[in-house]
Amino acid sequence: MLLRNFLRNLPSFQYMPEADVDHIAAAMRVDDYPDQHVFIYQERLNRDLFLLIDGKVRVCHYGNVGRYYTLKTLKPGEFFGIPSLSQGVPAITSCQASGPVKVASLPFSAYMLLYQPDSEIGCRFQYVIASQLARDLQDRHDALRNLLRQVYGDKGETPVA
Amino acid sequence: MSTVEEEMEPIMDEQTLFKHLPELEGQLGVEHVKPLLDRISVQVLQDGEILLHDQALADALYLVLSGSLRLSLEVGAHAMQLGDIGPGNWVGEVAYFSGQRIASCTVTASGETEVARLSYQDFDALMVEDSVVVCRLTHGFVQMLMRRLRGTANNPIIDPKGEMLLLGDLSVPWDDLSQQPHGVIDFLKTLLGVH
Repeated sequence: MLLRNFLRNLPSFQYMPEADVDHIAAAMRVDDYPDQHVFIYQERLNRDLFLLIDGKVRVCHYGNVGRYYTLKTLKPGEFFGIPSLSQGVPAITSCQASGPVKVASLPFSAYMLLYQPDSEIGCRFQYVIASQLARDLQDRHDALRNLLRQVYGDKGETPVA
Repeated sequence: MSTVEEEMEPIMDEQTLFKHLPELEGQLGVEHVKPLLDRISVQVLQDGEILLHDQALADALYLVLSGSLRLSLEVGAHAMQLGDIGPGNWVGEVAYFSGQRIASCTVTASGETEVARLSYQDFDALMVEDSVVVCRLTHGFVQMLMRRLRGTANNPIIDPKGEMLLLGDLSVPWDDLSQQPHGVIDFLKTLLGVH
């Protein structure tokens, strides 16, 4: 499977001209990784933008109550590693393969050029980044909403003591 | 609480725009600013008024001009407070960029609050007519989304009143908002921890 074809089919690439998709695909490399491979460690700087091509990747966080929990499980077509890479700060989550996975990666030097909105391709890539972050935040809210349901029941009713 | 039926003002001036979106100042010429301003209207919300309902359809982006908005998740009669956002911050961007156009939380005015409204339809139109302004705005949304993701990483706690809430600051402060997009060297310095 060609990476550029995979990218073209992503909804967030809908505004990206084919030439730009080709440039981005050319800058990425695709590799296979084993189960449990850690792409990003919490509290460490991340240096690549990752795109899950096949398999599952768990996004986990060691939280304020000393518990390690899964924030979301990524599906093919999702990017990960954006906040740490963009802000140059340690990651707030770990990202680990759940089973064998195929992942494309873009080195930070290439990502840096796309993250800055000073070029036409950078401008269009802002939409790709925003789409993934919005999806991440929406998934996080869904997870929190499910937690509310678990605590208060399906209809949000207060449990009878 | 009541739904939003506020007095609409047709225009917002350039000075107000740059005051609340300082990262755009110097980045956009008048040819980019005017089409944006033409599409923005201003609304005043009273304390407790609901701007967006969790899981209901959303059709616009809102920029806080004064006051603050409270964000919460709702399930039945119960809610989880996510936090407050202040002037210079947007809501409605998750629904837009996720492509679902469904509000991801309830947004309520906390005190009298003034917001600028830019409909998704107008944002789409701007993307076709003037990609520069959309590009700059989207870069700002990216900063805000990253901040909110960081603020919601922890699991919620239950406060002494029995309410579930997250420990996280969702509002990007003025100082951060006024930072211009940094250049390549600054980016490398930040990434490598060099000052």
